[in-house]
Amino acid sequence: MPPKPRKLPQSFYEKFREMLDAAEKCTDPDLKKLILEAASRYYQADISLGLSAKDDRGIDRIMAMADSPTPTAPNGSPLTPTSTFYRFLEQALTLGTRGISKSALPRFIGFLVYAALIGLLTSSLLLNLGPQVTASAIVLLMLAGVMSIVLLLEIPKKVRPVIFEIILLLVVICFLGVSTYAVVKLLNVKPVLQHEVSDKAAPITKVEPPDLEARQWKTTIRADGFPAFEGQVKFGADQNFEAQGQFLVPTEALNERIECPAGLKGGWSYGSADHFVLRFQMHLTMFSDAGISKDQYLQCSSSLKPLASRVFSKACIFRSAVGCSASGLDIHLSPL
Amino acid sequence: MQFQQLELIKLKHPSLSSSIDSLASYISSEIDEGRTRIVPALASTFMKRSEAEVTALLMVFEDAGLIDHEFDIVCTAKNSVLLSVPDLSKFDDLLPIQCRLCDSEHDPEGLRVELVFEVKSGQDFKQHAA
Repeated sequence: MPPKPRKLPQSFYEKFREMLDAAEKCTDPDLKKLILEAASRYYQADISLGLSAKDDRGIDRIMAMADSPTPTAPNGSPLTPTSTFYRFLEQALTLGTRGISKSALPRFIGFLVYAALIGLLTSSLLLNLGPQVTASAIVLLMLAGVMSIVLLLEIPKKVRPVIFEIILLLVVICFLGVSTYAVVKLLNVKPVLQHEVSDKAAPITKVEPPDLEARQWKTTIRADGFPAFEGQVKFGADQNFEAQGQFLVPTEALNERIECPAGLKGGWSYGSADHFVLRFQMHLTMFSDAGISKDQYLQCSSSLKPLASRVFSKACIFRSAVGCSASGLDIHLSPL
Repeated sequence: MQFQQLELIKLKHPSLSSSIDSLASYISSEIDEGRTRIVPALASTFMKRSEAEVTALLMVFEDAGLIDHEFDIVCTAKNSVLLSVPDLSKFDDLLPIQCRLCDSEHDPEGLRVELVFEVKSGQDFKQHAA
């Protein structure tokens, strides 16, 4: 029957670790060997099952460290940066319950990790970042919680610590990956096509913008302060354009519009070298009574006259080969 | 005999010779002051070495038969030694430990274990370390 594990005061375990740390740093091989021997004699031997990875060769292993050119941890694994990393994570994930040092830094980092995971989960739900981000956040949060419990139960010290270290490393990498993905998604950053426009930046897909000068277009323009316009437009090489068509002036009746014959003029230019951004300026040039009744004309006149002096100017982005949009401006083009 | 052992260790580890002498000097001064309990943390302050190094050196002295180690079980609240035991194999059986200063019983959470060394014979030590 295995001996019953004893629970000694925590400071005793810490002292043992300090001894090992000192041995690790010690440059005198004789003294290093003595420190390890002292650690084994006064601390590890009396701790028995209570400290760390006391397999059958526990004391033999620590003694073997003294002859080994590579310092080793109490569990017998090499005291590599990974081990230090593991111990740091151990303290971080358990929020200091498994302490390796008195420093509050690991505990603080552990707190940050949990806060970040909860924040990621919350933001993915609130900001609709997508099911992948939400699922990843839940999985990572659960993993972090499970690992914390596993660490508290000292399971990794009874199994292969290296495997556990690798799992921890993978969790950290996954967390960083998901966080980066979430941040990129939040910022709507598209590294391939990012355009600086005066208006609100909007994500755009990789499409070819239309060659405006190549032909005449059938167009629909919706701009702030103007009724919707439908007609034909020709973009000139002199960076002016003319459009003929009609404004769809709303009436008091629900879902009814009066088609008011009118023309638009303005200027255009590309706001970016790849022609994705269109700088667009327009104003009303005329409206007429052609083909409409007198009553309709009066209604058109009352709506359009106030717009005669208004100049509309904005930049928009081509989201598709036939559509350019920005806040307050939407231009749809289709070849005639 | 004991003296010979210490000298043998110094011969075996010449790099530690000065440290061993320094520790011997510290222990002698403590004995002169009437103290026979050597606390590694205090010795390390005197020697300007790490506590781990001093503990290792004290182990050498113990191997030479000049001192013995024991564990002080200390109440963390009052910082007072409640018990001294030669080993901790029966630590569980000691719990809970009654503390007269706190007027309560302590579990491991309220206790601290400190390694200390007791000089076997001040007179012998001074003879050997002289």
